[in-house]
Amino acid sequence: MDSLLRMHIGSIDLDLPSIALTALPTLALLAVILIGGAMLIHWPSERYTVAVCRSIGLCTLISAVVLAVSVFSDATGRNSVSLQLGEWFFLGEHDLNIVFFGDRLSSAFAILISVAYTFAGHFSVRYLHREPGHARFFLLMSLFSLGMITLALAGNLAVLFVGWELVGLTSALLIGFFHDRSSPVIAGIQAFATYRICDIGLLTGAFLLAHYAPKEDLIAWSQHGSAAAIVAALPPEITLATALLLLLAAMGKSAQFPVGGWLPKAMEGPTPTSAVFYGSLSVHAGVYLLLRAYPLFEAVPAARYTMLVVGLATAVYGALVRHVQSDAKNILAYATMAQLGLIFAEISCGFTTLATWHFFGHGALRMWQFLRVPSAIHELHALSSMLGGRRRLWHIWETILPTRASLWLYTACVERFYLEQIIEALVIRPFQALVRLVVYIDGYLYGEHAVSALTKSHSIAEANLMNRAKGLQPVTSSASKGEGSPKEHT
Amino acid sequence: MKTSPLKKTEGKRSAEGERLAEIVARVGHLLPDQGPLQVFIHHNTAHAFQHLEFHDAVVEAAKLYRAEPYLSEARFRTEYASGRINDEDLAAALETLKDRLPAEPPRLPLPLTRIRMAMLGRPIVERRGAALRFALDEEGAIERFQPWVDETSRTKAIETSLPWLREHGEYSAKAVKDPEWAVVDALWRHTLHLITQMPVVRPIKEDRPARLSDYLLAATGADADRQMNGLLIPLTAAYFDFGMANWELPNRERGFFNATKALFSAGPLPPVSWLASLHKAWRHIDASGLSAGDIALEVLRDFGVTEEHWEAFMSADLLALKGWSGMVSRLERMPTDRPKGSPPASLMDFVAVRLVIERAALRDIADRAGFRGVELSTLSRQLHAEEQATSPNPAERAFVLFQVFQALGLGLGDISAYSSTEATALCKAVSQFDELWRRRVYQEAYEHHHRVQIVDAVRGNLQEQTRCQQPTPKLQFICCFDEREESLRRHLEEIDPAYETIGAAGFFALPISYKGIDDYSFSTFCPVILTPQRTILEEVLPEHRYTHTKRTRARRRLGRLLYWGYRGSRSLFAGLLWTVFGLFSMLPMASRILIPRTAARWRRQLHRLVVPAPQTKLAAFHEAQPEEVHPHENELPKGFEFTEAARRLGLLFNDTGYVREEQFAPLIVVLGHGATSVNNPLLSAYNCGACGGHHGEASARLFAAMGNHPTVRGLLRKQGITIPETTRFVGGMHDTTNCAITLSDVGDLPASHHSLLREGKESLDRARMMSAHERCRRFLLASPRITPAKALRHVEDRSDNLAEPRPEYGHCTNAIAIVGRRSISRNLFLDRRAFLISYDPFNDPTGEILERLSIPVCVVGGGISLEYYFSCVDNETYGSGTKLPHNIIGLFGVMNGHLSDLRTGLTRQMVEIHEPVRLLVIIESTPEILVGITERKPIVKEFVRNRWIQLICINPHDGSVTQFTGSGFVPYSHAAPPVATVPDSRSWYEGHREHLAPVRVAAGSWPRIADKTLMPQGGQHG
Repeated sequence: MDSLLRMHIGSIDLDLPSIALTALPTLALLAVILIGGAMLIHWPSERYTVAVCRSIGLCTLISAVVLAVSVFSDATGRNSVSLQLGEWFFLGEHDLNIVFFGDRLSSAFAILISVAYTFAGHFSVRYLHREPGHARFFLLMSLFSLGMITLALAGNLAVLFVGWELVGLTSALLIGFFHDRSSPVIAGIQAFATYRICDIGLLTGAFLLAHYAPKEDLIAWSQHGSAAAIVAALPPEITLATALLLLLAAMGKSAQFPVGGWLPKAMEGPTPTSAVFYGSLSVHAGVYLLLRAYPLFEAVPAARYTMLVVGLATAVYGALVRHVQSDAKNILAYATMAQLGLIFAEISCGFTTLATWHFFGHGALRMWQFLRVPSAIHELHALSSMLGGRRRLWHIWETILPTRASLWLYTACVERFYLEQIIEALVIRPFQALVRLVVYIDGYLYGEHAVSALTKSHSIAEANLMNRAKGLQPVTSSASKGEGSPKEHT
Repeated sequence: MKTSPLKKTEGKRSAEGERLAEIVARVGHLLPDQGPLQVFIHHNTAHAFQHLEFHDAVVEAAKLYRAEPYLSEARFRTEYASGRINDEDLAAALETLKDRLPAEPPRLPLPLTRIRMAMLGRPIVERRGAALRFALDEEGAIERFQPWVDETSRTKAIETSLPWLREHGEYSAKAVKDPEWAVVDALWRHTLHLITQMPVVRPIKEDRPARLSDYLLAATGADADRQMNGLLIPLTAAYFDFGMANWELPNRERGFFNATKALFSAGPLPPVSWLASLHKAWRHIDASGLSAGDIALEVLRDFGVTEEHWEAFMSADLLALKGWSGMVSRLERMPTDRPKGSPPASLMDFVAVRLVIERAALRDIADRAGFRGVELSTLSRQLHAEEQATSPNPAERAFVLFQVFQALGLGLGDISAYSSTEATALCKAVSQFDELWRRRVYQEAYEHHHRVQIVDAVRGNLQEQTRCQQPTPKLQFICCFDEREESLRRHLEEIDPAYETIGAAGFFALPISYKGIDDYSFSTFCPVILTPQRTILEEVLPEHRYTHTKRTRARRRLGRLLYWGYRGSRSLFAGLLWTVFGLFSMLPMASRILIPRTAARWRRQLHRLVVPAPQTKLAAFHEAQPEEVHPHENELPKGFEFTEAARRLGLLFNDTGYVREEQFAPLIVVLGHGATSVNNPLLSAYNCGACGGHHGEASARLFAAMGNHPTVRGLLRKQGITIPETTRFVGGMHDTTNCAITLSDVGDLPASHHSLLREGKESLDRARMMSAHERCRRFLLASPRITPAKALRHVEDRSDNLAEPRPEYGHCTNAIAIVGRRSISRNLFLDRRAFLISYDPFNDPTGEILERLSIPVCVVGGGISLEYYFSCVDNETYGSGTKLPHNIIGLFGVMNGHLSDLRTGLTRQMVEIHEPVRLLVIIESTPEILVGITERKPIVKEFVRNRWIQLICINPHDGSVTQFTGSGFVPYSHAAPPVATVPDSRSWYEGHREHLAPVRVAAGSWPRIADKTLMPQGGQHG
């Protein structure tokens, strides 16, 4: 068995799992190069793009299965494979290597990713046939899967971060796929902004770990014994800070309360992207990160309690808001959010095996449900016919709550608990005001010419508006009464 | 005395309220009139403008909806370049529009037609602003002739210009080296000079104020519409929801306005300022007890909209969210479109709720933009006053003229020779023939090309057919007149000359309300313009009752499981269970994505195993006494009495002209049609429109059952319709997506017909395969050299494939309607583009039958064609854009992504191969009869007189062809070569993707008459 999995190329001794591990990111990169290159030279034909996507998808799937089989079976005598592809950079005593590794979790995730890539690719061949932006879609999808595979097979946090960012960027671009309308673009920007802010968590967390535990990569983290030793060696406040920072990163990607508002809005892209990204893959990247970093959380209960609160809040929020949604995609988006909250709660309670099953089952099921979203009418009609009529829905809140309270709850659910408006008022507008202030100070200090063209035109428009506003006399209530009264007397 | 002012204001208010209600109702008529998805019926998208002439209507509609009236000029030019429009068509179009085009300016130096033809044939473009600067500075437009200028014009222009240049001392050294540059440069300067001397026409600023939200958007970049839609759309969707949400909107039965009021006045105020003020406003409304109308009036006053502007404002405001407003308006007018127990719909309620939310959103945006304390009405007036109308600058106007000079091959010598009056006239002629006019001419030319092609072919075919004699019919097929059946019918008739197909509306003159054994409610099986007369139940045969019980039980159990799966997997706690075991969904996912056709077959087999199918029959007859027919006032009687059945069947036989014994074949197959596809919200648009958007199987089955009944036959004989004793009817269904054909109740056929049935089945199998093959030429994913057997598999795959946004092309190719005997269109390859309605003019000397047919043909057929027209010329505004981001909401509509206006009209995938032409209706009748019908039927008159359809009349007595123009029928004169003949359809279409010209197909044609004496046109009637 061992000799079967081993391969000798000249003097280089390569075994099959290592080949599979190398092949996964390489294949995804190849797809990006083939499609992107063709787009650069000339607009590639549908046939070419589809052929690339299909063949690479199949190869990726095979590699992922080979990797998983070798990791799960004890044929090689170990349950993880790692491979250093080279040195990225070094700085003093810190050096960063490009390391990939596959253990049970990451190889299973790699299978899910390649299944999603293959299925969504196959689905899109027909779904996006004759659509403007066909090649762009396949390019973004390949880039996305490159990001996901890098993220899943990353051997250290730096490599994971690269994949994480690639996923974030391509997600935003895919949400805004139909860029001739404004709402997909706005939704894409919202997702991108949320990712950016939460990614600060991952970046800072990675720095802290690199500083305090420079020699340890994710391979060490994946072994329970060595992970506990690393954590024990860290200063406790650093452990807490890192855990919370990584939680923040996971919250953004996995659409947790209160930063998950981008998820329902992300339903602007074509169906296969909704299926692959928000339904099954990128939303689970946060879960994956938490599972990887679980030893850290195990050591600090405070971080686990925070995770529990976040998870439960998301679950309740998602479930409540979903109740009042009346369109297929929003219902699924909030249902997804609620289950992700539950997965967070499971991890925080230490049920990592349950969380892992939940993670994969949820990913697969949602992928399937998102792909079938347009047939909701069909399905519900068929169900009504089987059940001999429309099901009367009974709702718990109307039964247990007093009328006014249930009315209030309903309104709050329709308005999504005002979450976005609150964030806008508390975070976005102060931030915009800050930017304006900085621009103003900038202009004041360095003169008008220092202000960039963009902000200048904006500030001029604003100044005009202010002038106009000054020119208009506020109409007092007595004046309006005075206007109205003569009419009544006539 | 003291109470009188109050009374007065009350009285004033109610009068105002009535006027507002009237206006809202009027505006409701302008909104898209599309019902919920389940009852999608094609209709004229610009129905509100139907009283206008077509060209005026499309322009008016385009203004109101901010849409395109025709295809773009660029698209038309592509069609011109490809030969789809030629010079002859353009000349004919100019001739047709002669009276409507702007009059010729006096003292025009060149023939007007020459100028116009030059402007049509060349890609003359209007450039503005930066685009113009780019053309001038970067593209070398003032250094070289336009690239499309042909060699002769170029040489001519240079030759006539050089003497002028020399004369004016501009023949510099550079000009000697590069005369083209010198000529073009001087030409541009001269054109600019000409233009600056012309009087400038200032565009008139519109008096009607736009919406404040538009001004605020332009001034601040903050979109009030987006802000309020984020609340209004989910609320409206939840209110009208047909059963998608888990939690129904409370108090739905009290109306939209009251339900919203109750919602917003309960509980603590939200922590967001604009929402808090909105909630406060609703509390205020709740306390005041005012009605929806009063509140709408109040908000209008707050906006400063005076009464004369109400209508303009309301239409602008509702059209800003036209999909949703239209749905509310439609549901209000057609309450039957909704399931039972749905909440009441009222456009006024919607208007009031919208205005209240709009007011809060505008207030918020105005406050944030620094207009705190300024009343909205003042702000609106102020921003309106600041807005300015822009007019094109001289360079922009000159650029068009400059290109026209080049197109005409005019040099400076020619131009400078014109007097100032002549030059003015020339400029005027050019500027009057603007883009809109050019597109209008192109549209006429586009239609002319198609019309001439078809009419010539039909005329040629008719001449051929008169030399042939029809053999005794062996098998007949009654199909829906739908253009998708054209290929099936043609391929059937190609098999054997003794086969004959008949086209009639797919409900076969039986307006019924039907309930199958699996249905839980009745569905209407008739065109929207009719109401069902009887209810028909599918009944289980007594010996199969047990199977049926088993079936119902199995379906219930399966349904409960699936329902739990559907809701449960989306809920929190059950969802945990479902998702933990979610990996099992990989199995159906993999099979249905990778091998959709096989997976569908497995699923059907599994379903048959679990859910047994009992044998059934239709309860066609009501055997009670006539007085018992109406048991309850509002309940329809079950089944037809024999007299009524005979009358209904008689209608169909008379309409199609089949009344005499020798006309009937021994076996007549009646085929309804429908479509099967998955993942397709607009499924009912693909089904049989004549059956109310359902599968037409039940109607066909019912027709066969009634036609086979001896009592009905006896009664028919009394009406003068003799069906031979030996003739039997068989009902069936043709699936237009996967080309499947199923026949029902074949067990009832006597043994004598078995061999004929076998032959019929074989022929149908062959024809459906060939029809699938012909359809596949349109699908780019099918190889152009696909074999018929593979083509059948390809279309089956489309029908079962979840990823397929275009399972079939629906009515996409519709363009023609032919009303007449099948003999005039038989053996003619019409490329699945023609509605073929069987009608015998000799059976209808007074035009009574044709009058009955005129509505389905002109209004229903015309409506389908016009819906395609509008969705095709402006897919984003009139249609619903690409299907890919569509999201089903409330089970009644689709929107883009997570939140948008309801999308109405057809998707881009449905219209992508459509040619937007007005339906070409060819009727075999006399002009007198047709004129009579238009006089009696106002709706037909509207369609015909206003030229929403193109009407051609073929006189059955002498074969002469006349064409309806705006004023009346004029002889159709077009010298055409005889129609080409090909051996069979396949040899003509195979390997081609595009629309094909009509040809005569030799296969299956009737034998030539032996003696040379030509049969008179109506010869078969002796």
